[in-house]
Amino acid sequence: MIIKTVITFLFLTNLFALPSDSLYNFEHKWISQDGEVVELKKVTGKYNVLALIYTSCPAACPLMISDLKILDSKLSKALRQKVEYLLISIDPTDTPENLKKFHEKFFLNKRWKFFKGDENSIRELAAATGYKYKKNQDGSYSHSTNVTLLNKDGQIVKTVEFSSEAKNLKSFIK
Amino acid sequence: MKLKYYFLLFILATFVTGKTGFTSDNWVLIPGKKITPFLNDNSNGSSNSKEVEVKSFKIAKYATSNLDFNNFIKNNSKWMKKNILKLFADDNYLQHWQGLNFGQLEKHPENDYPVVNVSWFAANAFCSDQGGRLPTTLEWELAADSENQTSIKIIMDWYAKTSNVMIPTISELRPNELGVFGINGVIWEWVEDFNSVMITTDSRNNPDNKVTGLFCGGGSLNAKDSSNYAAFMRFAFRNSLDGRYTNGLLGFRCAKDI
Repeated sequence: MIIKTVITFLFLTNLFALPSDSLYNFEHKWISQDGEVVELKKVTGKYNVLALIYTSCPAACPLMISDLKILDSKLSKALRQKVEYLLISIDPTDTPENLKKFHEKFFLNKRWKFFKGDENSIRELAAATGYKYKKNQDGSYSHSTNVTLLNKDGQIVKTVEFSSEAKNLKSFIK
Repeated sequence: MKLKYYFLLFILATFVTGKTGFTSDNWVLIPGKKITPFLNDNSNGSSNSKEVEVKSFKIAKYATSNLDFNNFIKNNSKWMKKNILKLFADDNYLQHWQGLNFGQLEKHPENDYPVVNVSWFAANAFCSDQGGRLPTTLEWELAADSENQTSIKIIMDWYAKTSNVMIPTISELRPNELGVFGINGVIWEWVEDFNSVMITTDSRNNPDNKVTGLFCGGGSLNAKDSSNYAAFMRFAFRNSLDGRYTNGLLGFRCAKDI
């Protein structure tokens, strides 16, 4: 009886364990535009499209959002329900209020979630997704525009180097 | 008499083991300074070189050794080779330790060598555990005295060596003028912001963003000294890295605020 219980426990533990390469293994705490504190593993999309931006970004980030909207528009209604968008601010000084304003400014619906975090969380997430960024002396950021598609287990399905290629992620969403 | 004996023993032990571990003797104070970064950030569309103030900080006198890292993972088992997640390191993580157990490593000559085959995530976790952090690129360049002609010569001689040259032990390293040992010409070292080099993701490489200003400050190849081949190699190497990447010539040393 004890052996059976142990085997069942091990089976279930293994069943619910995250894959070794899952980004959801990070234990970072992120704050959403609604002030909610969450870990990435709590996101609910079957697919999550991850993009790192910041709210005071003058041009590249709005373009990135536009590119992600193009991807979204190319998805069928059924596929669209499986996809959520995770926007992470690279600026630790961004506030939930800023995130919310940005969310509203770009008419993003509830499938678009915007989070902020501390410097180390941002640096680690960027390091795991091949994202490069640097704070400039004028307070702006130089940054890459790569976009990463994650599956429901937090594994990277595909990264496109430029957000303008985000529409190509459609073929990886089943 | 007995007390005196123990005191002498303590001094001797400190002398013998002083190169590993993180006692106060193993940090070097690097005075703050205004420096012009090797690569310009090009913000506001200006291509003029700009000075940046680097605040005073401390950096480890030596690169982290195998023994230091071994002591760290004894208490942090998630960083053991057998437990390491693929998210945090590639398959070559600590591969030079193969066949060595922890107990064996402590007595093995390997323990006095700088640790290599460690990912950025592992290096970051180690330094955090020591109450520090990895140095930023600017801090590392300052501590390495990287524009000093002597430093450049050491690096260029190192580049010219064949790849099978042995890494020296920590005991064999020499200090630079700031008192930092073996920071040039021994191994590559991780920096906190290794992923801040914007060489390839540049507006010129992005056909959809033709205006530099559209790229939030833009990527830049505006090097301060285009003849400094040693620095170009270093920045290009950093640009090629991935956070989980490991390499037999890539280690790290920690820094901390003061």
